[in-house]
Amino acid sequence: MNEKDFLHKVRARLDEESDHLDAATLSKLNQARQAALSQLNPQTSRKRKSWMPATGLVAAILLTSVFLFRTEEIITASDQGIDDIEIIAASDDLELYEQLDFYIWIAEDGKHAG
Amino acid sequence: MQHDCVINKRIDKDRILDKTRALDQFLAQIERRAFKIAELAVSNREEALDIVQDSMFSLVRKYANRPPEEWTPLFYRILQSRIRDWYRKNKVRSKWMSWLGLRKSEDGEEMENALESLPDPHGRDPSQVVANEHSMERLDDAIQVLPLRQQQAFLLRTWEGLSVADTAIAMKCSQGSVKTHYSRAVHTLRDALEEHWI
Repeated sequence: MNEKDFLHKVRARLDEESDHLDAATLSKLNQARQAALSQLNPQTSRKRKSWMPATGLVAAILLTSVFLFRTEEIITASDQGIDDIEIIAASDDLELYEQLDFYIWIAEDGKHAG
Repeated sequence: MQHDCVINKRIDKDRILDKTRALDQFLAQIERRAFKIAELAVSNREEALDIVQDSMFSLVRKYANRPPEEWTPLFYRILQSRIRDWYRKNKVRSKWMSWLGLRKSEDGEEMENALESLPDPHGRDPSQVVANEHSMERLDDAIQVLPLRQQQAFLLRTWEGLSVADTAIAMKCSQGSVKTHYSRAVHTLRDALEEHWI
């Protein structure tokens, strides 16, 4: 087979493949083309532009809310964490903390008795 | 005065419609081959569709006002550029993966060299390719195994029918390089396929 015939055959097979692309791929290519062409339509692009600040604002509000909510959660969680760490790190016996209510009651009872 | 304004607006509208029709026709005629070229390069349908869509957007946004005869090399220039970007991103991703110890270490070859040499995403060799039964698959596989630059030169010249000069514009390289890549590609493909096609 000479080079010309070989290349002709390659072309024919590639054409055959591209002529038989599946429907889903063809549909996506069509959508991509229409979306790209919509940039030429001033109404569509203006419409899109007028929505952009509003979309941006909504996104900013959402992000801020999520951020604040998460920060609050983190602070609360870390406060509790700090309390726990203080107790664990203290040199006092853990039993003291477990009986804390009892010792407070004894102390208050002593005051009243005194 | 107001009448002139209305006429001008109508002319503008007609001009935009004509341009939209011409571009629609151009893209419709080129999209299947562009998709196939991208798919052969990246071996992934979804990625190939994204690359074609990006290229369409870029062409319409930047070059809609250029003469229609320039659209083909410009479109393929964008497409090639997107494909190279895809390879770069993948290279960076695999470097990170390798750094994180998730994949075997790469050889640290220069990025441009990697693009020039063999970026077959499946890591196959020609003997595996020849073992495929169907000639269509065999053709796809043989093209995919080509180094990216050879693959592009071959497809643009043979399939898209671009001239050497237009292929050079699309590939952002000299006409001499196009000829070299193309000739090597034809040689390799004939070696890999010809005996199965007689």
